[in-house]
Amino acid sequence: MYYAGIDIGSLSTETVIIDDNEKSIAYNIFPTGANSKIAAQKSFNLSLELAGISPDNLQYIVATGYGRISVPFASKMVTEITCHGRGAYHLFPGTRTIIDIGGQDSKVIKLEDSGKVIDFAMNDKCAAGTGRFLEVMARAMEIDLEEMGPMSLKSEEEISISSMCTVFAESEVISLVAQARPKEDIINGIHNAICSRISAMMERIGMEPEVSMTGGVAKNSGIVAKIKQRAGGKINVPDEPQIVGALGAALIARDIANRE
Amino acid sequence: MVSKKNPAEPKEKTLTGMSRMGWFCSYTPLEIIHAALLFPVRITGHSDPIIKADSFMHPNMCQYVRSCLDTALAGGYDHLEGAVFVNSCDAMRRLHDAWRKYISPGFTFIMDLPKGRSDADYGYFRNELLKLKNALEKHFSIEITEGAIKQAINVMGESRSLYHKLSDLQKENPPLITGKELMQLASLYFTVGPYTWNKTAEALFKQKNDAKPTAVNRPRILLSGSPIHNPDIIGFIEECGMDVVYEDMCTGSRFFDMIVENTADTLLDLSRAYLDKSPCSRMLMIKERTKNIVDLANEFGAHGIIHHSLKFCDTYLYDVPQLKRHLTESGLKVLLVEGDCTLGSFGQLKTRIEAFAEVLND
Amino acid sequence: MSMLETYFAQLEEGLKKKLERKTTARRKFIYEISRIGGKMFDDNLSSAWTTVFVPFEILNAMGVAGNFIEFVGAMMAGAGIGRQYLEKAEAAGYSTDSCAYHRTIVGAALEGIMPEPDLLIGASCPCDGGIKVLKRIGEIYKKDVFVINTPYEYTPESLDYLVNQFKAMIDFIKERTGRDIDFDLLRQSIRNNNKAREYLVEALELCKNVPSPASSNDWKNFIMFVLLAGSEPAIEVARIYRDEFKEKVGKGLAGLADEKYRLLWIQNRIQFKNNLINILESKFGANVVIDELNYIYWEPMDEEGDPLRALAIRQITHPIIGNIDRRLDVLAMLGREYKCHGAINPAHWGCRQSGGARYMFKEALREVDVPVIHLDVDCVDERNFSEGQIITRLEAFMEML
Repeated sequence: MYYAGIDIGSLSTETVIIDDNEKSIAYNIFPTGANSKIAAQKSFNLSLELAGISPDNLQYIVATGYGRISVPFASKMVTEITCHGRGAYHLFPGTRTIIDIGGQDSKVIKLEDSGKVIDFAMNDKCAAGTGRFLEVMARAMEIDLEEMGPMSLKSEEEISISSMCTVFAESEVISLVAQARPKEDIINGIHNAICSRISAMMERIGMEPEVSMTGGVAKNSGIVAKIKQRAGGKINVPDEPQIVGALGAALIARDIANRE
Repeated sequence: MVSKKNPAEPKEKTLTGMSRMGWFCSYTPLEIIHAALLFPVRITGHSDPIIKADSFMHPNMCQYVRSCLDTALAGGYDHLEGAVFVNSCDAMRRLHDAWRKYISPGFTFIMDLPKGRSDADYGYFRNELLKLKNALEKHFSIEITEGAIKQAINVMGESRSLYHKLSDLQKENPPLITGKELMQLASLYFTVGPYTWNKTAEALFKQKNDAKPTAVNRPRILLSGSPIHNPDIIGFIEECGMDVVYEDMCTGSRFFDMIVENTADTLLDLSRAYLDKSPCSRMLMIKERTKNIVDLANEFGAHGIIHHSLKFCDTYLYDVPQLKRHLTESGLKVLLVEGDCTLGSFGQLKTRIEAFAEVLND
Repeated sequence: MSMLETYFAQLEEGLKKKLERKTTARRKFIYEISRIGGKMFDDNLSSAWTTVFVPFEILNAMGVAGNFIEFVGAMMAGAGIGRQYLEKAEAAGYSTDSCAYHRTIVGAALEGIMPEPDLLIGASCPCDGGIKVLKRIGEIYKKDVFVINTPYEYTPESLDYLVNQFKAMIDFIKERTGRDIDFDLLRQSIRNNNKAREYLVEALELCKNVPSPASSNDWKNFIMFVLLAGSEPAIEVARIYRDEFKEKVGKGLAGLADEKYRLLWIQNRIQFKNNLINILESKFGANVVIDELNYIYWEPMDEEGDPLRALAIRQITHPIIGNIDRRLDVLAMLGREYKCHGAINPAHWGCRQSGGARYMFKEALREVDVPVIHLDVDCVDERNFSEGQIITRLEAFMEML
């Protein structure tokens, strides 16, 4: 028997299919676009194809994420907080704190020893502190998002970007570029800015080890390095940080199916 | 700018043609307003985007105050003879100023409210009550007798007991009345008046007490924080998968949470009763407030607390860190949310509230 | 020596040297204020943290050195060290929607860089935030806060109420420090207040001169004078201001050379380093000739009667207390009498009592033909300060004038 988890985010949709041994047999990352219902269906179909199974082979489906309500064929809806908790705990059983920085929001999730979520904090009102902030800055500097991490690690001088607001920060970055400050330093400054946006949340929830990172921004080595520092020098980052929510959803699907 | 007053359609039929007096803060002595043969109407603002008020006040004032001004500017309170304000907070203070300047004034009065419970504070607030009484007498050319105040105290006392009877139905597992229904009942009080309401409440109690519980066992939570006027918001929270078994807001339970003594000095009785009741955050008594919340949570078998603070409400905002710590130390799970008391902001909070329900589910 | 103690010691030292070279009113003022700051660390005195409108004369007459928390918040912003305490407060859960004067001090208290106060005394006016934050600080240091309920309206009953609270405050201080009040000292401070008042009224009158003998910087943050109230140095500072301006007017010297525009400043100045005043002065020849809060609204105090009563009357008649009418009258009067071309309202972020009134300010000043610009600045948190945007708005306003 197989179980599926679908995570419909505002930017991307992921579907993970696992088997009875909790092993992931297929996943994909699909752009959500304007219609979450269609994106969910397409991502779902794609994973089925990759897994080589049909919908009848699925015993239970859990939908999560901002668009979880647009999955009529889901058996249950569970929030992405619980799903990220489950997914990260599965990948790194020592996880007690999860830092999830997605495209449009960021979260800090606290787990107890059993893996159950006991506390969380979210920022979904403001772009600063999310992947969106990085996108805006990458555009302002005319570089690719993927370059930001490696470039920032070469920074030699600390630059502080003082504005809290993404819009103001963007104009600050533009003037730094105009002043011909090294791009590596500017990007490092941008990364500092993101981390300080999230640090209030991290301190409120507490950074109990082990700390694991999820969400698309975990692919940015520069930011990972900074969070690692705040986490006391050790941090878990999955190979594919974007699918942790969907993985957690699939695992929860299996948990529920086995209970019933 | 000054809008014309329109004759009102009386909703309360016990005494037809009674003039309506608006009020805002649950420290307003409704007993005196009743005794003046006026019909107190709670001013609740609205839950929609602000249209006019932001030209008059900075947008970083709370939705409640801005929406009250907004509605008033659009003529929504023209049917009132006036409004009684309380100096509860800076925002209310400014609302009163804007009301005097830009809304058809009628009878406009502001009462001061001390933050303590010393004899001097009781005396000072008693004097404020006296000032209100005198001002009403002068403006409406009436006499407010001691007897009339005592009668109002009695009928409101009955309302309070009835409310508690109904509220206690939520102690059952599952609760015999939903949080939304109870809130709807509370809101009704502010529009139909005590006499009608008492009958409605009694009938509702009979109905609910005899009915079989239909709800499934769900996580039980206590809702605390800034005033939420709209029962649909409680409904929304319950739809996210939990039962709101108690709310300690001044728009609900805390309004009904008062005991008035019966001595020769009626105004002092009222002063003591109002200052002694379960405190709003503006009273600075955070230890007591937290203790009340914890005690009530335990009494009603709540597993967790959702504390909702109104965005830009300083009195609640400054309490949040301390509150969270105390409540968590008591062993209760706590979710802190910030909203603007509109259903829209709660929609955005949906994920958090649902996640909280998941956390509470064992 | 803690960082803060060092800061005030250095400030005092630096100004002392400057004063030896040349005495200016501004230097003298800041020097005396730095000495007040230093008193926080004086072991011979009990220290009290307060909100801004608390009767410091009573504290001084009891050997208690008072400091209002907004003052410390402002100092930190001015010294450029506020940011870390703001972040600390936010990490502890204090909302960024709240006033940064208060958030800075809570962060500093959480961080433990402030010397532990012996007493906490707060008033319910001018705003809710101040007394709330003092309560939070009380929880950090496990100390009670004495709350003064400042009455909304001035009536015989409310004055009695306030006077009784001052008496209760004296008992509160006595119980906790063993210090008693010296009524002779207190009466002397009333007399000192009146003397200082005379000089200040004159100094402020002189600024009605066109051009004003004062520059925008001379009166900056003069609200801190409340810390000196009733003392001998207060009289000195006031006299030096009067003398300096009298001399300048006599010689036809202006505070700002080539003063073209005269501005009224509403409520508080922007505390952290910024270029606004520079740009106003250099680009537009605009001078802040009067700050709303510097206006001496109170009548000379009654030197014969009860000093507590006299202090209560000063507190209860402050324009910022109660309804907005007195404040609007003062603003309109200042706009007119100081011949202001415009008024600047920084509309400090998180300030509800003034934010809710901003349209009323504009209206009241429009009656006297003084246009107002609302700036939407956080006067204490520079992280939110987009200088480019603010300057653009300011420049547009000045061009409009």
